[in-house]
Amino acid sequence: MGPGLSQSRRLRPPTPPRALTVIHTLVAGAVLGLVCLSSGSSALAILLGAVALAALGGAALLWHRDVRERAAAAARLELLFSHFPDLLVTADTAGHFLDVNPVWERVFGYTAEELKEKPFLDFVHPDDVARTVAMYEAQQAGAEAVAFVNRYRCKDGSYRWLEWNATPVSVGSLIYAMARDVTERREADEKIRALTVQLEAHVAGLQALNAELEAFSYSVSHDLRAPLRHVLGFADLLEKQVAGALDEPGRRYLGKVRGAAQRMGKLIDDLLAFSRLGRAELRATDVSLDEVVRSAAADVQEELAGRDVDLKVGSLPAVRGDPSLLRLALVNLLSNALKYTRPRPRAQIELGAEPGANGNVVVFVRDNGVGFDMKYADKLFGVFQRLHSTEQFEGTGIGLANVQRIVHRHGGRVWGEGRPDAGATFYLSLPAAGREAVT
Amino acid sequence: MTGLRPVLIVDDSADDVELMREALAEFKLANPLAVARDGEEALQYLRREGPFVSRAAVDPAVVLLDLKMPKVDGLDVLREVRADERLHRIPVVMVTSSREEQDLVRSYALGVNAYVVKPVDFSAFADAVRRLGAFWAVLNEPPPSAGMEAPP
Repeated sequence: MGPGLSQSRRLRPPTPPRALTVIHTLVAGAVLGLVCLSSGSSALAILLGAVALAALGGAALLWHRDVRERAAAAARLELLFSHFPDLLVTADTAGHFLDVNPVWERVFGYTAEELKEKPFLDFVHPDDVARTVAMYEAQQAGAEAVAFVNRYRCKDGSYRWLEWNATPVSVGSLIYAMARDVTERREADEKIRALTVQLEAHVAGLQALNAELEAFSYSVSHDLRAPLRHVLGFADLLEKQVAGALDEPGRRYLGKVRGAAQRMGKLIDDLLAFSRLGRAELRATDVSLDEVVRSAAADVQEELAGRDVDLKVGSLPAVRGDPSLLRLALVNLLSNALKYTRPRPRAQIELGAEPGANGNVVVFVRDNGVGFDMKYADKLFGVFQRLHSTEQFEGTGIGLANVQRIVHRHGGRVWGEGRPDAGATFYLSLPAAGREAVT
Repeated sequence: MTGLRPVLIVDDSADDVELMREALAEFKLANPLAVARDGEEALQYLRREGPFVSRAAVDPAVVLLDLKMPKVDGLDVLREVRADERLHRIPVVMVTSSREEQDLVRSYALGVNAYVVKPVDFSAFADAVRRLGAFWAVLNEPPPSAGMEAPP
């Protein structure tokens, strides 16, 4: 027997069957008739008796209709009770459930009878009993329970989390309560909490690492530079001291000492700038690439001196990013294009944009320079990686590493295509304006 | 007293001190040079304590202060100087190996008068030191020395 059936008895008010009502009316009429006849009444009395009988029949009919309506309302309530998706319950002051709707059986696996025969505290998780008792007592004193949460045991021994809303009703001191099974929601919340804790630990680790890197680069910038300054300083002083006495190889060696120290200084500066790029705050806004390119082109003006350069800039969209970092990336790419087209009588450099995947924008810089062999493509973006000797093309090899770092920080991708002696094209995918996008 | 104010160099690197001396000597700076090898010694010099008890009561025209030093570093010296009623007006210039954002910010927050990065290249370094000497020891009018204000 399901709990729904057992409920119907309780909820439905006593409804006398229709036949019984009719019998009542007939019996009442017959009795009245007998009384009239036995008293040897007049025709008037018989008439009066008939009128009374008719009135009584009418009253009986009205009563019958009322009873029928009440029965229909009760049936509707019963349906609502048995089909309500949340857990409904009434409880008495002795700590027993009186009525439970069918959801209870579905959620907990107990029959309604099993749930009602023991005090409901027997089903509450031991850790929640004290709170539940306190809440129950507060309710009996007239308090409302709003979003009170505790655990109930299922027949299989597992527990489900319930969130209660209950109203004390003074009539009969019963408590009418509604509960919702919030186990899944709590488990999801728990997972989110655990993930958050994990994430926080991760962030703390990264912050520590960042602080370490910062300390490292700070010390590099102070401590590695000083000895270089000394090498260069004393080489200069030595030269002044013995200028006349040095022969050609001697002057050459001294020149090499200074050249090497200067080069190391440049490497240190580049490395520090690269490291700062990784740490600098990214201030993303919607950026007009046209403006960024104009400003980047102004930066490389010097490199155009005495050269025949055809720089074509196509129409460029707005992207989402840090304008100063994007400018730096484009300065690097333009400057590279200018450098590697130097052997060409007329350098042709094209800067443009095309739509990329996922609504990203792909910006490209194409040149007709010396190009590169695609089998070294993976080396293009490494720190201090170079595909040419410094005698051919000067530089430390930090430029494209900077470009890559900048693009990665924007959640974008960078790649290059080229052929030896047939030019190169570098591509950056960047989030379009208005998007916080990733590739 | 009509003597020139000294220039105080505070630097833990003997090599840097020597290079600065050379640069200033080439410029023929007439002011005497005083050298402190760390922050503690610099404060003793300025307060005329310890080995400097008997030095003349004249504040330096400028303190050329290195930032990264053992024991008491440049920022500590600057903080002490600015907090000291008798020393707080003395011009202090940070002369340091690097241009780290945090150092710049902190130095100016503590009231440094100027911040100069020592170039790695010697001719640029020598030029920077010469210009510092020319400005602070020759062109600039230093505040009256606290020691000279005292009644004779």
